[in-house]
Amino acid sequence: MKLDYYVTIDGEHFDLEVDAGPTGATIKIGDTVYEIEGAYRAGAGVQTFQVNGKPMCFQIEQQKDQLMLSRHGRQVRTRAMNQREHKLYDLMPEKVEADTSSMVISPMPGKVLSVYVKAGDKLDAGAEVCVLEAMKMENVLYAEKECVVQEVLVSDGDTVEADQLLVQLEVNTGESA
Amino acid sequence: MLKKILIANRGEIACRVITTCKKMGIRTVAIYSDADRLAKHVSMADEAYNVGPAPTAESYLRIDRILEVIAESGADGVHPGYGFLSENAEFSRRLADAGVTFIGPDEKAVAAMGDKITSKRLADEAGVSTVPGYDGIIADADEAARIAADIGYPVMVKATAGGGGKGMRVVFDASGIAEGFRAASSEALSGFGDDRVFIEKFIVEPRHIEIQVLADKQGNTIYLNERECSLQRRHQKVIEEAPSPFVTPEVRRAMGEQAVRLAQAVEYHSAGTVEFIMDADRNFYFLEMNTRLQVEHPVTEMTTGIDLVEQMIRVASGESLTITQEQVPINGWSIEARVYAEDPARGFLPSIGRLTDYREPAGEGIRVDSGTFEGGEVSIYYDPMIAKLIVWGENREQARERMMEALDSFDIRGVTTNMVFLNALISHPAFASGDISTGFIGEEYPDGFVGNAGSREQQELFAAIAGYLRAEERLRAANVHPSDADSPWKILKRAGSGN
Repeated sequence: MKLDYYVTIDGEHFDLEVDAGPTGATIKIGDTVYEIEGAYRAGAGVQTFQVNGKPMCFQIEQQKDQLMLSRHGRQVRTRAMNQREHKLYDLMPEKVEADTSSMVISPMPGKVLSVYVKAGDKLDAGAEVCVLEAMKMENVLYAEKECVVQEVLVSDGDTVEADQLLVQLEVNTGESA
Repeated sequence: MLKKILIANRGEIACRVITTCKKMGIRTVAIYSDADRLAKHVSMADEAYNVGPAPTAESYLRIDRILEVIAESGADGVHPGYGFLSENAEFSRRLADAGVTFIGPDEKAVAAMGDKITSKRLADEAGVSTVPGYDGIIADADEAARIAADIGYPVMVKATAGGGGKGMRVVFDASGIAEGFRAASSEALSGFGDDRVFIEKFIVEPRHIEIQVLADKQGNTIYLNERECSLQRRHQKVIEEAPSPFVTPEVRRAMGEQAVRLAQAVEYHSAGTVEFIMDADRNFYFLEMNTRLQVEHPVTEMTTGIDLVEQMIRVASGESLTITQEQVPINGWSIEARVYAEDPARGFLPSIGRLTDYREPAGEGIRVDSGTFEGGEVSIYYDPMIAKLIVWGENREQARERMMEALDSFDIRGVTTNMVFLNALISHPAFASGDISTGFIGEEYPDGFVGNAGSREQQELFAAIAGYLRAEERLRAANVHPSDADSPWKILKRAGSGN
């Protein structure tokens, strides 16, 4: 069966001509030919393929509509699409990453040892905001930018979850809550 | 010979010790906290006793409770593993009082080497080269600042009772000394119950090279070559190997002989490790002596063929060493990688959860020391190390290639691991050429580690695999539901669905 796929990796784009058979496939990318074999195990996290006769092991992880592949310390997110998907995908809006520079967020579950700031405090970029203890290590959380503390949502001794908002900051200079 | 050994530890090292006990026909007793009720070391041991709630201070560190278990189980020996009570002089003393054999050195040696100030003085006296520093007790941040200025920056503030990177801070100039002093003292207090710290010169671009020593109670002391542990992140070892690609036979001999002298100076017996830092000219300075089994001991075992736990048990039972210095081989090359539940993309923060899939790699030259299993949990209470992956090769390059393949075939799901990062280190041209220092990781990955594909050619291989997986699923879908295979409703639901 002949198939044309588009694969994107880290913003790079690859055109694939795939000739798939019952035990493997021949894949052409430009002038390069990859003869790949390997029984597909749905959901497998680790899989070895024969690539041009050489065994190669990959770590595979499904992440929504992307596949995270890694081998020998290199790791990429890939998206393989057919022609129709590729056309539709171009119409999809770009997802905008939320700006978290005005929030101090717990990077992991742990315990708040002490909060160094209170509402209204003016902080320089890099100022210590609070100390979180997890896994026997103390981790200091800092202000990313010059800011004013708007609200402190936790107090000393609180147990917190990953990604929990600890302190809300106001990045625009001047007004404080 | 000891008949029944209690392992005062958990995780991979408890399992490691039990394995050797079984080989020697010695019965084993495990201890466990509430959180470890179903742990691997509990099921491996002949007997197991609960010693309290999950926090280590209420379970694995409770000397009184462990002594009760020893009395109840009738154990005649205790192996402490590493960490926990392994270098606790009070524990050794109370075991001795109870007439139980501690599988490790005498309390006197533990106390002398456990205190970094005393150990450095003893090293000086034994003719072992040491790093310039101040070996008094430091009262407060102001005194710390005065001393640091005298020694000259950069300096290292270190917990007197510390180890394993906890209670340690490097300070590069006067502006950081107050925070460094506070953090080191505070971590020392919470980690070891002792907030004393000292300050010494920080050697730039050093390599960490350590000598394994082995001594019996009859006064025979030998060294089992070196281990290089220069790849560290925040003073925690990440990759270790034996031998070192940097050490020459002459330097090995000089380091080994100094390590033996230090061990003899404290009438050391059992397995121990003398840690050195080495500068670019191969000058080496004594750092500390660890009076216990090290996490990275397997690379020594793989290249000498000597089971260190077995030797520790034999020495503790009063046997003499049967190996002489001349009989210690260096056979091939071994590398160890510490597989942690941590997320390199989020500043290496610990990742906790259940191991939904867990399959260890196997094959020629591969050894895995682990204390977990599929369905096991990585909790917030303990060190998030999942396993130690150890490989052996006839030479360094073969060992390196085996490690790269073994890391890629280690199947761990449910928590995020550092395996891609480990493999990036092993694959790195600098590691391949042996050109590393303890600062390497911080310099190479200043903003943390983010996996990338490298060149367009390298990306192409990943693209081909992604396309192959897509085509394979397309064929499979066509076989299962021929009419659905081209349904547009599946488009973009997930990679690989639709056609």
